[in-house]
Amino acid sequence: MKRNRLIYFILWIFSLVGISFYGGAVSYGFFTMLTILPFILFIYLLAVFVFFRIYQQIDSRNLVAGRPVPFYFTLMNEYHFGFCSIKVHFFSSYSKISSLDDDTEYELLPHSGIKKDTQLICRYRGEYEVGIKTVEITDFLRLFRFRYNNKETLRVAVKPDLIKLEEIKSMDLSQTMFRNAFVNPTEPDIEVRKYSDGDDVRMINWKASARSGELLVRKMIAREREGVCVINGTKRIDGDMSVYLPLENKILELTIALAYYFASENISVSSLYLDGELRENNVRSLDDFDLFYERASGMIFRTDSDEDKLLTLCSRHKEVYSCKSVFLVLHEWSAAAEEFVHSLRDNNVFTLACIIDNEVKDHEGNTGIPGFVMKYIGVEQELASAGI
Amino acid sequence: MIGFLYDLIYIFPIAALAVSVSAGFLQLPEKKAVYYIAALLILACCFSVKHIRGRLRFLLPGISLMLLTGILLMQERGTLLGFVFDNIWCLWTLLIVTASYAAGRLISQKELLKLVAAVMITFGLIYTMIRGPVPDKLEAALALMMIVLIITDKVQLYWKKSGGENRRGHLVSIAPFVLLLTAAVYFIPAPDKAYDWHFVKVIMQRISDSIKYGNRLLNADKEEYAGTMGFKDKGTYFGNLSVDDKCVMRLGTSRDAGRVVYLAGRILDSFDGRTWNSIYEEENPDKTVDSLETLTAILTYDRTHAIDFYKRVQLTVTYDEFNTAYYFVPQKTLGITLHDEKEGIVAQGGELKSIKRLGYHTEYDLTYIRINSTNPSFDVLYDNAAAIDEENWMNTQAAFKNVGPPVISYSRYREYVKRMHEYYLPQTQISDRAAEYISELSEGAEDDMEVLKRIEKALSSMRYTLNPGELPEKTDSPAAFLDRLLFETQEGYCTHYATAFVLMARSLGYPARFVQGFLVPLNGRQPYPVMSSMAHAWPEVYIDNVGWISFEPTPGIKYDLSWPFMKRAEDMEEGVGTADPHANEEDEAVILPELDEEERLNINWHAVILSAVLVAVFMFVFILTDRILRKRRLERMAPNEKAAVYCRYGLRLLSVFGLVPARGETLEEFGIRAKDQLFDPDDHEYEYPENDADGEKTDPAECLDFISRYETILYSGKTVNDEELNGILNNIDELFLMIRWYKGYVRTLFIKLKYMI
Repeated sequence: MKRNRLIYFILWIFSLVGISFYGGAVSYGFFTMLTILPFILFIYLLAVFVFFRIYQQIDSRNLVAGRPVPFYFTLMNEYHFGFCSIKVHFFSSYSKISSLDDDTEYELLPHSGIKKDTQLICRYRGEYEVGIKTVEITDFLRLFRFRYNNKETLRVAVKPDLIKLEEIKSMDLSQTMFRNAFVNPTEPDIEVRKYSDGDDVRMINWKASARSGELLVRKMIAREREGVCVINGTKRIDGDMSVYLPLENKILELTIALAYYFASENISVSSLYLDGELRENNVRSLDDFDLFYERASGMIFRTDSDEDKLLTLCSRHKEVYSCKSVFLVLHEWSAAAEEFVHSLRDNNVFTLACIIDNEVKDHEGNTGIPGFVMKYIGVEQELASAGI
Repeated sequence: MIGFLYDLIYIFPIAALAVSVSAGFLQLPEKKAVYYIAALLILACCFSVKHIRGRLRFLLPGISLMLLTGILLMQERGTLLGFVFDNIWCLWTLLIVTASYAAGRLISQKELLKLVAAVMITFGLIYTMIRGPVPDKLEAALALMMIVLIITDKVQLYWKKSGGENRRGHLVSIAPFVLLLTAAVYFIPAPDKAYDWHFVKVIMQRISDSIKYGNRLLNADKEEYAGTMGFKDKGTYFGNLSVDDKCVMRLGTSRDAGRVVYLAGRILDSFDGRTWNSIYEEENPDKTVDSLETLTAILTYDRTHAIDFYKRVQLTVTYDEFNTAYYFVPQKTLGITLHDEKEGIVAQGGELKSIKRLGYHTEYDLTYIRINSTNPSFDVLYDNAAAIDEENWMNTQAAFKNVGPPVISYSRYREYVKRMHEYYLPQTQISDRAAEYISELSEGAEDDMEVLKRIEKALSSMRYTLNPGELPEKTDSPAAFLDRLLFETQEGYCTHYATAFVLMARSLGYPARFVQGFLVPLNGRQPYPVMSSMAHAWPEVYIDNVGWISFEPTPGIKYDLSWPFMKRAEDMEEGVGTADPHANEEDEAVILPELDEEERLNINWHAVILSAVLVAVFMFVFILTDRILRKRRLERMAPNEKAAVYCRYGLRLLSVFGLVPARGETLEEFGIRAKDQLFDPDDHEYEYPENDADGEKTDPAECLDFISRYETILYSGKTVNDEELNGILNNIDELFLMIRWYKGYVRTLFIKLKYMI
């Protein structure tokens, strides 16, 4: 394009020289042609701007971070003359379109369109725009280019990804967890009684019933509130999406990953977070994990959801101390966090603090508190390789 | 269609260019439109032969041939050959257009030829621009259009894009913009002369004037300022003058302007020994009154030989590198006309000033009276000038009413005389030595004019220098100035000598004034340039009943502005009686020649009718022959082939309803789609007969059965029997019924012709 413009400018100078020395149709015609040309090209670009249409579609508006979804777009020329160069640029900060290059130029003949089937991958959890961001049009002589924002963008709500952790390296699961007896219905050495009308069918101990020849149900024993507690911060640390989106995504991703891990082990998980007030989101097993996931995905991050305040409220929440382990998922380590950990340790609660940071730190945080492990996890770091 | 338009885009400009250029060489008929129509027809025939399929391609050439035949048949036998030779341009046109078509077609097909064509056209244009003959606007526009098209095509060729890679379709689709550009080139004026960049010169001059004006403002009134030659608003003396020569004005004059002209700008009346100032600043038409006074004196003295005493001259003044508030006019100016009225004129203190700052491109016309004052014989006027009375005063104005301003009353004239004495004859003290000097000069003089001329001569015998040195501080009075010049330095430039003259004249009791302006030699070609170095100062003396008379005391400057008296006044009328020598001219009426009735329209109606008949006959025969040949061809076809032809015909008929098989769509799918679209039970207008001839209920969609039959023909290899063939034909008829219902009878006929099997 620069070359074409240079050639055009040189020719225009020549035309000025021409009319300065020679009159007549040729010199003036050449000058007129070169002088009027930008206006004609501007009219052309204006017409393309008016009559060019974009149609975008994704299969679902509810997406999951990191998971590709089918994405279709159609570039349409609805007018009587050709569009010689259309370039589309996609939103790339938080999403990616696979197998498509931003540098591709499309040509559209009159009343024709180009449809592209591709895939959209959203990187982070949150609500933001995806798809075609800007359109760049060029005239047929490659002299001028005009770039404008796509008027009808796609806005999607992206949920955090569900990462399935294989193990929690930082702690011994069997020593600290208490399985929920309700989900192991066939062990024979559970206290049982005869079935009465109205008993939950799921409580029937089938082995014992088969052995005895009559329906036997497990006895309800006093529920001991144990399990795991995951406390995650919900503070929006910055107004810039490029800062808070990855962080929030990683916090929720880790929270959900931990919850899924323990739920898959039939260990109840209690997720505590701040949303104006202290809120709780519980899951006992994979059966009710979907509801937990939906609630966790919908967590709202606010600038006033201070992590110190969260920890202070949690320290007053008695049920926290009855948990065998507490997982802290925060974005910074503070004095309040240290104090909270100390109080947990005083109550013999194992604590693992995961600090989500922009930078990946190789070492573990060593605060010298026994029974407490701190891990630093980068916002872009894979959880599987985080060594949790 | 795309192919046709693509070829048209390339071929039409080439053909048009060839036709336009060759029009200059061929002996064309009087009505050139016939030539262009013939060229267009030949071109259309070429396109018809190439782009129309089947026998129809020969229809247009056949019609053209019939037209020509009709014209030829109308010629008398003996004159037929002569007629052909007289219209040999037709053959040339055929050749040129056909060759253009072939060339255009080749160019549109071959990339290398496009490049060659663009280069040739470019060089051709450059050559004709430089060496001539310059093509006309249409030719230039078409040639430029070709270049733009080729460039656009080439740009697309090397542009890697995704999507519709149909270069021809693309060029066709953006052709309207190229046409718009061509139209702009054609309709925007193209002068024959090179552009003079007038507006750039104006802008540059304005910038230059602004810079120089700012420079003057910054450097004005500095004591150490060396000074440059040129007009100054103030009568300031500088020790050393440098030359800053630039063209400040240009003059255009009528005849009788003489060898030089004095243009007065600033008139100053008060001298303090070092600087001239102006006390008199009342608004009065002094210049006009002065001119009328002199004219009155002349006419009163010798009306018959007035031409010996004055001549009337027209002058046009155009400012150039100048920035001033003054109008520069000769002494005896009668009337002034501004080209820009907004600049305005104020007659103030004997000067003419503008209400705005004047500069580049200020232009005005004026009429002035050039008087024969340097002719020795003119002196008799001074000696014999009678007192001007009211009658003579008003008579002079009546004689010059077409030139001068509104009438000035006699009483205003008398007031003017008083003012001249009041402002230009202040009490002037000179030294005794100077008085003695003047007395010696005056001794023996017969009259006042002789005294003044002696003073003029005495001063002009001194030395002229641009570097007379600064005035010493002791020179602080007119007397001191005069003594210094007369007895000490005896050198200076125009300002010094003009001042000395005024002082000496006033000391003798003559009203005198100091004038600054330009002394412009009128030699060479008009317009005469007025350079800043021509700035000059001179004295004027008021002679009662005559008016202001200029003197030239500056050494080295002496022009003989006189012309000899005529003993017999042959052409006395000029300048006497009527002011406008052309006042009695009558405009000649322009008579347009009437058109001869017989020349207006000359159409051979017999030839037209014969040609029309021949064309009609040809078309009838053509269509009939075509139908017969088609029918015979169809009859000879095998049943399957025949059925396939009819089925394809049916598919073409469906396109009338916008139904066209999509890419990748099977015939079955197309049939279903067609049925859904045409026979939606909830949304159709067509009232098809519900029962057929046998009384059975008809399914309207049965007319589409030929589609499935066509599929069978194509893929099954089964031979079509007569019943099935008839079924297909019935489907075609039903389709036509539907078309007629929706589109109307006329349109259906057209469709039948268009989709003729």
